[in-house]
Amino acid sequence: EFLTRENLLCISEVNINPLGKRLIDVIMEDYGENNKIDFQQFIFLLAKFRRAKFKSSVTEFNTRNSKLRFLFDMYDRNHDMKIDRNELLEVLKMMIGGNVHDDQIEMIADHTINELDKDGDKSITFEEFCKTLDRIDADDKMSMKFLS
Amino acid sequence: MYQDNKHIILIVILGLLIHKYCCIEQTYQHKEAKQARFHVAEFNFDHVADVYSITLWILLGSLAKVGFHLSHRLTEKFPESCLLIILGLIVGGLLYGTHLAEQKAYVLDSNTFFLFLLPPIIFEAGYFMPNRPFFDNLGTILLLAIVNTLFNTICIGLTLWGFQFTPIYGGTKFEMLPCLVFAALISAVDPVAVLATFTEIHVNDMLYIVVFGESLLNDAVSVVLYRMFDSFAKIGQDNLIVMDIVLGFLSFFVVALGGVLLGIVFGVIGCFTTKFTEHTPVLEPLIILVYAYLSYLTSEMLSVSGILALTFCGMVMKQYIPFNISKKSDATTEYVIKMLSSIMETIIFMFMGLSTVSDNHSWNTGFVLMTLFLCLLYRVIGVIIFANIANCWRLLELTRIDMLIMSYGGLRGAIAFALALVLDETKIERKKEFVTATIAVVFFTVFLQGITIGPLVKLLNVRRKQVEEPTMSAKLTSRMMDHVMTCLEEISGSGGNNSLRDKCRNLDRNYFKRFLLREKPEQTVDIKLLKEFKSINVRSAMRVHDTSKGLIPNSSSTAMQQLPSENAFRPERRARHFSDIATPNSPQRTVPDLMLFESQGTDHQRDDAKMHRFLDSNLPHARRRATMHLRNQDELAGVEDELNSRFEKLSHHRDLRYVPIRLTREQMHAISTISKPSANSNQSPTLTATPSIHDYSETELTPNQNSRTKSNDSDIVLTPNNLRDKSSTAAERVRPWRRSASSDDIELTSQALPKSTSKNRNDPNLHPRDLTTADVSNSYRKSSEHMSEDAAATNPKENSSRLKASDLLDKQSKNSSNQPKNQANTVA
Repeated sequence: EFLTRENLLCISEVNINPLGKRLIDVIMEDYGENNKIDFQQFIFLLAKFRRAKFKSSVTEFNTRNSKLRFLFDMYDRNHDMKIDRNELLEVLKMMIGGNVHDDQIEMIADHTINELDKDGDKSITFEEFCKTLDRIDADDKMSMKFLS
Repeated sequence: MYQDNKHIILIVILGLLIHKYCCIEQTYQHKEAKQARFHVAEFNFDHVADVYSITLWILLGSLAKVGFHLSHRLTEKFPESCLLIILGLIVGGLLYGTHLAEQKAYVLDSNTFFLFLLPPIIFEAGYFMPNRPFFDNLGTILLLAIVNTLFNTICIGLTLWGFQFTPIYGGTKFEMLPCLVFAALISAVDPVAVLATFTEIHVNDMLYIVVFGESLLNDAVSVVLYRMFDSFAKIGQDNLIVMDIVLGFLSFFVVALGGVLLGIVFGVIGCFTTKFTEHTPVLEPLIILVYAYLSYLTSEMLSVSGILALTFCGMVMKQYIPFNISKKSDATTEYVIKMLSSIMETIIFMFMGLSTVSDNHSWNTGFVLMTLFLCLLYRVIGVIIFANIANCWRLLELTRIDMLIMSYGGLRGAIAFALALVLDETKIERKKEFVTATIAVVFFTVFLQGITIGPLVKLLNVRRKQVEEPTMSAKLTSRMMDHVMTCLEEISGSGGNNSLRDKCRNLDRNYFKRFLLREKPEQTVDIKLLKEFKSINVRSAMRVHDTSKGLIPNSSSTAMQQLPSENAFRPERRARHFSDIATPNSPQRTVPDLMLFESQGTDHQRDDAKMHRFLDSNLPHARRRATMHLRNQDELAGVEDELNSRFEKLSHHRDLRYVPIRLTREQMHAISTISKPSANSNQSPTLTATPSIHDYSETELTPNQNSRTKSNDSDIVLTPNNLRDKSSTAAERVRPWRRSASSDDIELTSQALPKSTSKNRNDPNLHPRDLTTADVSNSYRKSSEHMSEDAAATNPKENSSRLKASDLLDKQSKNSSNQPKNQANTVA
């Protein structure tokens, strides 16, 4: 039994969501194979977001690092461990939408890279990425409650 | 600093003496039967007595606050509220000592309190309520506000009543219903006190919102309970029937929901009204405040919860109104709300101190101590129980330290005191004891807990509010997380906070915003990112300007000029310069004219500066005249880019100079078509002028031309430099003899003109859209009104100049209107 891309796209909220398609890409490529995902792999995906309420429920899957890694992978589709300008641009375009001029989005992207990039290579590595999230409660925001 | 202290103390004492003197004057009788003669000036205090004393009171409070804040040491140790109460005590002591305390004006009148003093504070709380934390924690807040308050009331009431059978009270008898009334008014956490204390200690948002939200929302419960028990006491304990209790229970829902509903209704009506106030921006703050106040009064009239109404009215208004009203009105409204709330808070605390010194007390040691102890005890117990219950569903748990701060932050305040004063002594015999006990509890919480909570927070290392500047990357990542989690929640089927919030937002966008906002809600999915970027830019620009030592371009700017002038724009260089210049540790870099950044091109910056200075020296009168148009400028603000306006309204500039100037699309198009072409037009705009408000005076020039353009514009140029072209013609209109000067600049401008095309695509505020004839005719009609104002000032020379421009424009429109587009495309 497999979940295909079309199945997921049937969910209307996923369609509306700006990052919906990108998320499905990530799910299919990183966790499933051949554009399908089976139940076992689906579990691995969702395990990342299990709420780490007690110390005991923190396994190797839902550590803070793995959640951040997931986010990082949303950007980094060519898996070179870096977010470069184009990848950032793509995500920004998805999020900001169509009515804004391309140059404006490019400026935002460059500004963001400037903020984060410490070694001057115009791309963001995972460590630099994590630095931003020091202040935000990534761990708690990115948890879901299921099977409580 | 000691000298400052001395000065302030002197001022305060002086104020006190004046006040006292005036009060004494009030009782002076002017009744001599002399021969009436003409008096050059008379002393007539009775005429202004009441108002004078109120004003003096307000002045005294404000001066006291100013004085406190001058002394850094004082404000570190004591919260403001303590100092104000002490001041009230001193004044009260003075007045009591001189036997003037009988005057009604000097005791806290509950009516005044509830009708005038309380609403601004609550409205400010609602208007500035951080929405996201509030709704994220809504479950916890409701649980605490409703159930915890109920729990506290019942426990405190019953325990107090129970203890009367012991000898603690020294024999005075308290009946059950009065005890319950007292418990109802004493167990509610007070929003005024919480606001006054918590704003100074800067705990993290979540903790603050839990305590503060609880203090706001518990009004519903405490009002119901107070009224219920009060009416029961009036009915008499023996006459109660079950029906009364059931009705009391039902009234809770009516009060709570009624208050919320009234608030939302008035908020929506207010928002709807502002949809139409485009032409009367001066009335906007008034409308907002009036609607809010009406919501409060209406709910008080219907005996539902006024505080809830006002809170929700503020929250609703905050969502829609800032998009509708002009920027000035928005800033004014916020400031007026803050000012009113601050002064009312000051007055409330002073009055509390003042009212303490009166004859209305009856000190019963046992009762007072018992009350105090029970308040604290049950607060802690209640918080522990209910926070643990809330933790079952909370994503971000409340730790033990959080719980400690929450129970410690349960301050009682002026509301309890006002309610105690209103008690009917005939029905509730122990009113004086109650009043005394209330004051004791309020003083204890405000002084002891208020003073120690600051050090406690530091000691326990509670997470503080993050006051660092928001970065684009943080905002971007958090928005991304929201989207991802929403999506995942949908996929996994566990409806969490995120999907709920998303649903609400969609509902909001599709229905409410369309109905309530002036302009159609944007289609972009995430306008907040753009908003954030814009505000970051503005902030760094302001910082650059503020840390500059002068406005003269110097070597740093020439360094920038030496950048190879490319046609394509290099955003990273721009960003780097921002951060470079924004670093505060380069004091020798004087800031070049900030128009540099606005123009996004560096080569003609030198020319800009030159022209800038030249025109500055030659345009003294133009400015004065142009202020006539200030009022119009706001009125014209309605017809413009959506995105632009949204930015401007959301990012409050301090200086109008940095506002990218708003013009209608047609005007901008006209300007772009004028500025691009040959330099041989007499109308040739010089590229810069004084960057001040009189740019707007040009709006009447362009519509004439605009009506003839039918081209669809692709890229709208909104570079302020292009716009400043127009103001030079203003100069020309005012002083036609200056025209010769402009011709000198034509050479300079001609070389700059080709560069202007490179600016087209690079402006952050670009917004490609299609012109419609409706818009064109609209602006034409509007500006014709303004033109009539200037009709007297026009002279034949100007008419001719206008004609020339329109000729030019015709020529342009006959040429391919795609030409600018092509140029821009090749450039980019």
